[in-house]
Amino acid sequence: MDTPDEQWWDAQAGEYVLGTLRGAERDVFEKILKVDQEAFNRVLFWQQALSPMSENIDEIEPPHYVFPKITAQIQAQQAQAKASVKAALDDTTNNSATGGSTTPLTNTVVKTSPRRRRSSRSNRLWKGLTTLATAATIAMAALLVNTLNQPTSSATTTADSISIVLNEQKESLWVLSANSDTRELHITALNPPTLEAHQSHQLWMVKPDDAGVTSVGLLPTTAGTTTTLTLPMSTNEAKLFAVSLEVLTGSALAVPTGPVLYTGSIIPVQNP
Amino acid sequence: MTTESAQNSPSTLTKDSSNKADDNLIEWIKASASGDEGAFKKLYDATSPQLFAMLRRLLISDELAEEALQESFVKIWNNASEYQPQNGKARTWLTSITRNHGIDTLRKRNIRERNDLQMDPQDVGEHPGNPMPFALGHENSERLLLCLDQLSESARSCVVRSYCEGFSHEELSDQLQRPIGTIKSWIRRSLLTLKECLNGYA
Repeated sequence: MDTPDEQWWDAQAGEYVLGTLRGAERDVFEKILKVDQEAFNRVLFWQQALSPMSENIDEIEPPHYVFPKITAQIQAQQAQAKASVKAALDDTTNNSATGGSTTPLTNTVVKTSPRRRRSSRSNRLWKGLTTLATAATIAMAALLVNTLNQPTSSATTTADSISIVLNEQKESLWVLSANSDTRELHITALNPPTLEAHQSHQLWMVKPDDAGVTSVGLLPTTAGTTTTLTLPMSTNEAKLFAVSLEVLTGSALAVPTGPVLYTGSIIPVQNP
Repeated sequence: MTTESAQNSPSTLTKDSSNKADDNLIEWIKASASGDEGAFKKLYDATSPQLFAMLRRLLISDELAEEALQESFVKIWNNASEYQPQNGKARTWLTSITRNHGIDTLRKRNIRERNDLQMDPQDVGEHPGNPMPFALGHENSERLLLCLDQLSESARSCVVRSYCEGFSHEELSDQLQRPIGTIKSWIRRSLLTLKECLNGYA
């Protein structure tokens, strides 16, 4: 007989697979699945056990135009990745040659956007980047920011911390670079998730020790666009950034009203 | 039953055929992970009718199901290298990716604002036109059906309809006119009963 604790986890995993685990509870459980093998195994059990209800059903042929749309979407991703890699490599080359003082930090970090790509020379590079662990990706981005900051003459343009907001596939969604002195936060949208017309993504600073959250503002929704917001507090006082799904105008409260979907660790950058 | 006759029984043949089919899926997933578009097309042809049917049942819309199928296969292409055969059947992996995307779509859209989804609280054990929305003939199906039969009609309906049609606790509570706590309790107790039963057949 399973213990009450095991039964709770079994039921939680079962509800996750059924689909009745929703909202923040589902988001939290998905985060647990990434780090807890036992919870992951319980989910595998339920996926397998309930699969006849999905697998042994009367099949319906999808319309003929669906597959071409899939391949077109994949090719568009590949083309975008190729262009991003080329732009990032060009930026790096330019910075090496000129001392690289004025290139926006966030442009360089575009190269760490880890979407999988295939069938081209750039794919190999992307595969290499994709296989990097999150921490390594962030560390690499921090190194790049640090390198690019070195020749900057004005302290006001220098980031002292960066953050990459990732989704569950470890794809980079937004890159944030902050300056604690000026309280400026530069945000570049890399691959912002699609929203409905009435929705927005709101950025929050999460304080340590469960001390609550503070709103920073709404995130840019178009890939490639950059926004500058004012930090409500120093990044030193925050544990991490979090992104919630909200109505178009953002949360009407001082806390998220929608699910918290993504987070980004704050990585201090050593400046000379 | 002798070993020889067991090997030649219909259920064994079905199992062998199912294993062979899954071996093909594994091969195509691995090839897709290496960028083989031909293998990806074979994978799509072999599985999209089942996945599309599942999404239509979940999202109750051809348009949303097509969109979800498209997004799911892009995700399958992007994540093909992450499939681990030791973690379960290839078809179950594909189904899980697609179902999760379908559930996310449900979360984002208020799909349930429809009149034709009304359930009769006096008839909560019935799934419209099909009490058990899956076919028999597979060992796993029969085992699941036997275990579902151990649940009360109401509890079984909650489990089946949440899985197949994506009903949330709140929606089940509204439709069945039962307190949400009762629905949650039915589902969680049902899951534990199911697990115990399924383990008994393992």
